[in-house]
Amino acid sequence: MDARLADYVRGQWPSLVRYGTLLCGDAVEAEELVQSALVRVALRWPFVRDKDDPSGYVKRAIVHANISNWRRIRSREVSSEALPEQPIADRSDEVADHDRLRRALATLPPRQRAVLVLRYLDDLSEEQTADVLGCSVGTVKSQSHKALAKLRVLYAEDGVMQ
Amino acid sequence: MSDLEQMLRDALHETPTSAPRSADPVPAIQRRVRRLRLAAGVSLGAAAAVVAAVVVPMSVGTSGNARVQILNTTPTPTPTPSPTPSPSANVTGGPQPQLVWMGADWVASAPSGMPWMLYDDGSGPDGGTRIARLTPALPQDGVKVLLPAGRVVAGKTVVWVVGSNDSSTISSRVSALTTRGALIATTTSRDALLTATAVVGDDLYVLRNGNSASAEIDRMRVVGGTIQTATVAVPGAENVAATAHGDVWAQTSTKLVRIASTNTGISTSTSVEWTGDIIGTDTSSGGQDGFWTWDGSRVVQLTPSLLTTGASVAQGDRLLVPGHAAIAVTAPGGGLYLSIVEGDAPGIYYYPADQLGAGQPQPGAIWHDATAATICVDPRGGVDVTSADGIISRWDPAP
Repeated sequence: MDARLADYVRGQWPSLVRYGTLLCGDAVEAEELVQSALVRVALRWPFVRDKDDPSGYVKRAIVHANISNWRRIRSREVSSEALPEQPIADRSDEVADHDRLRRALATLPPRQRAVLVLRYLDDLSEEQTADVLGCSVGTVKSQSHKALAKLRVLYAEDGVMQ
Repeated sequence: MSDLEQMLRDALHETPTSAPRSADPVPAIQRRVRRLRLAAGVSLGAAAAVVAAVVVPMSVGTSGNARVQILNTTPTPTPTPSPTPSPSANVTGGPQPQLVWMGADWVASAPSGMPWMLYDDGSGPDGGTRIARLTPALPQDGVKVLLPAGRVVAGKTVVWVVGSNDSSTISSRVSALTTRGALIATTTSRDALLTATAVVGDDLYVLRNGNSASAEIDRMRVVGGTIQTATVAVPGAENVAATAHGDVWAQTSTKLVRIASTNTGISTSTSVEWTGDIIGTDTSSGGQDGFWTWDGSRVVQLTPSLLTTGASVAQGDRLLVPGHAAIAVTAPGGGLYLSIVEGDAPGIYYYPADQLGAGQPQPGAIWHDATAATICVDPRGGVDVTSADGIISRWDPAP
């Protein structure tokens, strides 16, 4: 592995796993997800243009790996109508709300989840999000709309959103 | 921005970072990358070695065939033309390698003429993945190929481009082109990863979903301008390779399985126990039915069809090497090139022909610390070595 890529991976590993966790909803699965994506990045490394800051390329690989993984295991995936856990009692309301929102996010289909993560974590525009996902801007808009609507319902059902 | 959007933004940005189970993922990633590159290297070695193997000569479409399409052949700049005559390399016992090209994906020998390479033309105006002959004159024109495309395999009159993509959708593609770059036919499949290839004559053998219980081997053949596919299941197959005589074998973790081919299909036939990896086709004059294999400690010249007679009969030359042998390529003069990827002294080793029969073969030249993704014979002499970073160097240590 190229030394620059190895340094990047070592420096960003926890952050990338966190990113993967938001996308796939499971911290353990996220490690495998991110590692798989990094294998692909390493294989394609000669063609990565921004070797000094490959974050964009790596995140794109993680997003696509997650969507791909989900397609493989979709038959095993079970959507839960109700959020499975209650927030622990000793956390502040805001922290608990955020935790609840992230768990609601994890119940969305992966492409919708990816749209929200790219838009609201990476602060990408609709055009940039479409470019990452390889779809049209219209698809991003519709997926984002559906995702937020579903998130709002899940949140309201959980008694938080008014 | 709505309250929900703002709250979502805050929630995402405030996601706590928990310590991953693995503190340093780099070694694991390197192992996986190496495994993938090894598979690619073996398949390319097999492709390179079947130059003389002709089982079923095929005729392919010509410009008069309505199915033939000429792909975009607009001349484009090379990805990274060679800026210097020679890279710095630590070589003992031989000349320095000569830098040929930078930015290649895969390189494969051709039955005639210069090797083929597949590369991403990331800097060209039209971009895309292309194939081209590795001619001495650079820059050169490339032929844009359909994606996904990960490796090129050259038959006698058909050039195959094989690729899998599991980043957004699990899809694979195999395209057949003439040696002039005209697309003859292409076929795609879903939910299948293509992980190894071999070519006999113009027939392409592809391992689908290798290392799994659902592994299958496809024989792809151009017939009347279309690709006809015959399939046989070989559960657990890890590799497929062809001998110089054109016998095709699948390798599992415990055995080698011969793939029998007829005009109507393919099937499994002889199965012999063998736990080593096929790391290259033996094209030496005495090894036309065999492979170079790695048994975990030695490189063994093996004729699988003789294993039923006895291991001592089936095994030819054996070499103790200082690490894990990953790729073996027979030199035209009978010597052997080995890529050693692990151990105390990784690199590319050249063993002259007169050393192979010796009790303790000694390398004639060593290119220290070289990591090869592919090695193929260069018609001008020596071999073309593609590094993990896509750098092609020509190395000719043979006297």
